[in-house]
Amino acid sequence: MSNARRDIPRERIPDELVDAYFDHELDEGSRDRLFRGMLADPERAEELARTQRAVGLLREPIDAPDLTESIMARVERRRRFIHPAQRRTVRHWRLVAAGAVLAVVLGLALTQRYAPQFLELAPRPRPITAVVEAGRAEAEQGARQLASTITSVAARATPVADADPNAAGSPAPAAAARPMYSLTLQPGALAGVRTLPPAPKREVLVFGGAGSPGVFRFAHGSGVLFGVDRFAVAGRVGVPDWARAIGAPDDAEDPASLAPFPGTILRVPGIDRFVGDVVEENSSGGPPRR
Amino acid sequence: MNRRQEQRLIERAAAGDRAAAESLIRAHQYSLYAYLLRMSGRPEAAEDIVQEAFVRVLTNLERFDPRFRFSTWLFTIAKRLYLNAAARMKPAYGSDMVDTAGGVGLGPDRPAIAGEVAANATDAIAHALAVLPDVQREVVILFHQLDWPVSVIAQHMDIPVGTVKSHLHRGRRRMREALARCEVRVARVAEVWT
Repeated sequence: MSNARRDIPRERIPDELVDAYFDHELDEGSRDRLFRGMLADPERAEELARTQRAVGLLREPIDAPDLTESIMARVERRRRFIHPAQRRTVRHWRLVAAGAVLAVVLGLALTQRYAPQFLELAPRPRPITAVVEAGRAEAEQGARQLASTITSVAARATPVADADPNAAGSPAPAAAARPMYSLTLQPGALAGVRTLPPAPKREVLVFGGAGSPGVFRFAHGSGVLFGVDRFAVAGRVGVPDWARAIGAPDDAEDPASLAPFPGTILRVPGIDRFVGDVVEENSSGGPPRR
Repeated sequence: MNRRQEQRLIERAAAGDRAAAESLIRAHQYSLYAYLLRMSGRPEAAEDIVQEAFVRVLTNLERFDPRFRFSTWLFTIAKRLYLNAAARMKPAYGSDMVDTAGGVGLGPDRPAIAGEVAANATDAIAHALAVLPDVQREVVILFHQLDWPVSVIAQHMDIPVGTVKSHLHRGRRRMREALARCEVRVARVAEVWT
């Protein structure tokens, strides 16, 4: 036996070593040990060689067809590929189209903001406030007619103060020189211009907010339209802001101080319209006549 | 082609660059065809599946996750297509073809010319692969034919690394035993390659 063969280990090469070799995990020292072992174990060496041949056969080239064109044909049937030069053109026109859409949207937005009338395709239905405004316009016209009627009637009426100045016990205060009328206001009801007969009633147009019913007294002959805010039943009358704004006195005790301001047409926002009975007060203290 | 270059190709192909798509096909079609041919044993089936797999990949490139390998994605789709097709196909690997020393149309007396040796080699390896279960066959093909690392095979097949190695070792052993049964053919191959 040669000296070389005396140094060769005689144990069977372990499977783990062979597997590690084919798994490419063997370090150099282990590989040497493997090859030395093969020299002493021909049967194992033959197995290893056979395994090596099997692996080698797997790695042999295969006659594979070039399927590129057929694949691309299928792909293009589902999704078209564009040449890079054409792609630039497509991208350019896509940007132009996007810019045009953006310009249109921006134009519409600006027009809507600053000149919406140009975007109206059909006349809009008028909201209820437009109806209310129309009603107000009619009411103003009626009030002007009322004023002229009151003025003409006042010219014909005989003031109490002009009655027999020598009648005994007849007080003739300056405030009583003109007939007084009281208007009982019923809140929440719709009313409007009531055209009253020439005498003794007067046409009144009342604007008012919601409030308790109250009596508002006004002097005949004033011929004005006035607004009414909230009034207490007890007779205390608050000075509405609208009245204070045009110089009404702060003294709110006497409703007469809120007597109409000639020629003034007032409007109070958010009004309710009242119905009321205009009653001519009997200056002699008798029951009022309607 | 490294992964960065491949990623750029993918991006260009996704944007509609035909040349980039063709480059991707050429980079992977051979290995995919070889894999499918070894798995199925049928060249026609391998061609069809290769084409369909690429079509699905190229029409859905926007879904590709760059954290993973493109080849892994491509092979996963191809494998699903193969399994669907295999369920409909008559198996190309017949068990009666295996364990036959003479093989198909060959005998020990025929002269070993180059083309015939190559054909014999092809038959030998086909027979050797035929004895393997599908999982072992796939692991052996991916590792030894396509040089996929064990970790990538494990990820692709969704099995632990240890299981991959186990399949690899057993697969090689069975292939070796199948080749031993085709000793005459193997010997002719050895005459050519030694």
